[in-house]
Amino acid sequence: MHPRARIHADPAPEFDQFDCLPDPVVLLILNKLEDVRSLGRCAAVSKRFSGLVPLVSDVYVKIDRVVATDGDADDALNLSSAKPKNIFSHFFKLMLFTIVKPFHSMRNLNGTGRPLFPLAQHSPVHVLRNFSDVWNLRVELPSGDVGTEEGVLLKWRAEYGSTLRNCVILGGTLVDRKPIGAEHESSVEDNGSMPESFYTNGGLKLRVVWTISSLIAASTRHYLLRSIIKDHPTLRSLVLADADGQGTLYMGMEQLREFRENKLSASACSNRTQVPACNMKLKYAPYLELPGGMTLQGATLVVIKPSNDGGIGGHSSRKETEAFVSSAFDEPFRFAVKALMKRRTYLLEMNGF
Amino acid sequence: MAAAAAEATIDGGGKMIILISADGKRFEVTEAVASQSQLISNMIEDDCTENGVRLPNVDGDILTMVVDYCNMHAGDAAADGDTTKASSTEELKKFDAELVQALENPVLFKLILAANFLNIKSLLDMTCQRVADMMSGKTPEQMRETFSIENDFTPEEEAAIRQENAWAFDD
Repeated sequence: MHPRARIHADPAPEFDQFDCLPDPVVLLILNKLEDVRSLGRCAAVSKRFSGLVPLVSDVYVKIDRVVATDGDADDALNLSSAKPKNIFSHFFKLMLFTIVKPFHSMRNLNGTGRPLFPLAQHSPVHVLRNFSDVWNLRVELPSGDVGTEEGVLLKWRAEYGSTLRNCVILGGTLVDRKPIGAEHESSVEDNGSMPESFYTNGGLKLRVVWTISSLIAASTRHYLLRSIIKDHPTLRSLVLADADGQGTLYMGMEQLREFRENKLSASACSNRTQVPACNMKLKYAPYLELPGGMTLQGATLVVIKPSNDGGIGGHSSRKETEAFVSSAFDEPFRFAVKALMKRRTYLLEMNGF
Repeated sequence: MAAAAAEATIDGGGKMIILISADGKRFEVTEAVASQSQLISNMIEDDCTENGVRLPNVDGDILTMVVDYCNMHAGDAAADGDTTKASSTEELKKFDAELVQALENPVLFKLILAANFLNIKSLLDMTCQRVADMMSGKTPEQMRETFSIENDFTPEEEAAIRQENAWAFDD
């Protein structure tokens, strides 16, 4: 409490504060430190620390820069490319074109892809090789992958094993409060269904674009995790999120086990895993007032499940899906999801891509 | 405070126990307060708290803080009086924040050691988090200085590990 007084009273040199703590307690502290950069510096403090840092079980990797690369994604994870290039947007457009065919008049893209391949000089794969006992890993990309217009809220959360298990997407336009005059109009329109205009004014199209962009982003992230999962057999949970809070990919213990047992199916262009054929449930509300004073206009919830659920390791019950959906996002968006769950359901089917 | 806690508990949780610190200071607490320590909780179950619990590794100063903390948090476990819950949660947060902020190195580490020995998880988590926060963002030199850690690497070894962990050093 009074270091100064203590130093005066006791002329002996200060002792190492950590000397009194047993290794498990020092490890507990290092686990709370989490941040991989701080941990790397800790390892250079003393021999004791450098011995303990590799045993840390909770690691958080924040990626500062993202570099797009040509060729195999493995290379993208390990090396910085000599000629970074935004292939994601190219690939994104190509993919979207093939998907969009079944739907009518959906040629305009709203979202633009940003490069997704993380890492420059120091890839997380390389950095994480310093840790031999990681249980819980969180990786954060510097930004979300799906470009949206100003004011548009787009959030997704996907659960993956060797393939997509569950995905939920929440979208809409976030405004401070309801515009004056909109109340009357909305109450007329809001009969629980999508308005007629939705089919003609691009509203539905935009939602399909959001859905597909989110699925592409999720499956690209999933593909990037291969080496990390292979390198770390001790992993129990893996989260790949972004600083914008747009998308979160989650894999739990059971999903990781299933991932290791089954072969990944890469998509044709092999920069991401194949998105399986899916059933989608879409729910819509013209506006939703959120706790905290914000309003979500054109609020849309899309719940996606592979159609052959019950196939590869996926036999989640309806209840599990509901639990996944209702806990996917934090407040106030959890509230929005809850409200949307009560709305009418529109069913859509989608081929694998 | 102890008396109030004794009244609030219904079933025998009001029984008092004496904790005795290394330097012989005595603290009278309810079983409910004391059993936040897993160590003491086990001793209560085994019925060996009759003659007071001697804690030879915990100084009186530190035990005072631990007892304060446990008194403050006794409501958590008891989960009574829902009406006062909201305000008391706020109060608890403030109490915890102030306790942890006020701690300087030697005392903080002694408190960690006590929390570890007594097995009080929430206190251990909180104090370890404080040390982690103090380490976060510091260079190895700053960490050594903050915690009086001796650099036991040879210059060659240190250079090698810095080289290996180069990713942790460029900003």
